[in-house]
Amino acid sequence: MVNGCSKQEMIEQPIAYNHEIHVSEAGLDCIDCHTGVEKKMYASLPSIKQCKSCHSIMQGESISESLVVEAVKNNVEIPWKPIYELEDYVFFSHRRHVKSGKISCAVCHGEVEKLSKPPTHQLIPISMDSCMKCHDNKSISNDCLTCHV
Amino acid sequence: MAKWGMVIDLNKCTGCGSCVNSCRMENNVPNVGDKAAQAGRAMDWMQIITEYEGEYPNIRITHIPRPCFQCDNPPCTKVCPVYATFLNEDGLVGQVYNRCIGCRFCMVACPYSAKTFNYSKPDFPEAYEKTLNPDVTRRMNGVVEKCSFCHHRLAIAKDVARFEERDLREEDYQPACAESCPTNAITFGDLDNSDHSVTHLKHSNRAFRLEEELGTEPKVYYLRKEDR
Repeated sequence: MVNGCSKQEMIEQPIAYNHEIHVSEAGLDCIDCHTGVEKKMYASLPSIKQCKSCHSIMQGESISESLVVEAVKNNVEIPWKPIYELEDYVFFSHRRHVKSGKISCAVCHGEVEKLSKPPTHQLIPISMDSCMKCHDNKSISNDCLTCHV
Repeated sequence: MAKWGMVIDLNKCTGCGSCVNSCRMENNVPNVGDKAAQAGRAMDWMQIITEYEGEYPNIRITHIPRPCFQCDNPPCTKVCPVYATFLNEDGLVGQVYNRCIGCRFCMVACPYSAKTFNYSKPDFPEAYEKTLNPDVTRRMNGVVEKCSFCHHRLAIAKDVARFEERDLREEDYQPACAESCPTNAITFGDLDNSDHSVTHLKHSNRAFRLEEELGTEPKVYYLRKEDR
């Protein structure tokens, strides 16, 4: 079947973000930084405002954090790179899947919260096959117009 | 299951073009430019056909807005070799652009000329980029495009109704053309739901459908223009 959404090349983030420490030690949830998850189509990447709420001063001693603190001081957005990007012809709403469908982030994105380094590729490659299987299992319409508007 | 349809009152339509423009904005329909338009390659999902009757100075002008009629028995879907156009479960005729191979059989089959072919890659001016609707795809060139009754709005309306744990109301789902019509000439709703105004309007003695004798069962009704 079609597999047009996977992005195969390795992606390096501007700062070595540690998901694990944010989730296990700081007690954050995915939605705290990816704020669009329950409200919008896009999950959105964290803006400097989200970083500012904790990193206006150093919390630890890592070099990566010092870069974040500097960005917060200068009020400059960190150019995070998206790993999941859908083709133009696919409509996907995070709100619909997370809020209404009650699907956890890990179903599509894998166990990102256990990574101490930023992911360089999609942990679970997104494909039309996997979307359709999940829709079948949950008795959701697999009509083409559900995703291709 | 709802049967989404439209009733257009030709008495009220002034041919202002609001529906055409709002459709363009809503569905990211590109402007092809003068030369392409003169070559018959203009793209309009909603088009206003103007008919003149009589001789000057006694002329009667009728403006007929023409979206896709979302036929219940669509001739276009039967000729598509790749299942890119089909009648979906909401009763709407879908067009899946990444599946379309651009053979244009469906354009020939449609008796209402409701489908257009995009000959060139859409070229949106820089300022226009920010106004593009993220809920609707930007089509690649070489595919057939058409009005979708703003199907993306239906998907969003269904979401909202689900969140609020209620049924879909008439005002929840309105396509851009109906919403923007300044004279309320376009009424939209569920043709099978007696709470929706379209159900009453379609039984008006002025109601008719274009080329009804073809058996396409279009879901767009017109109310005949009356002399006043």
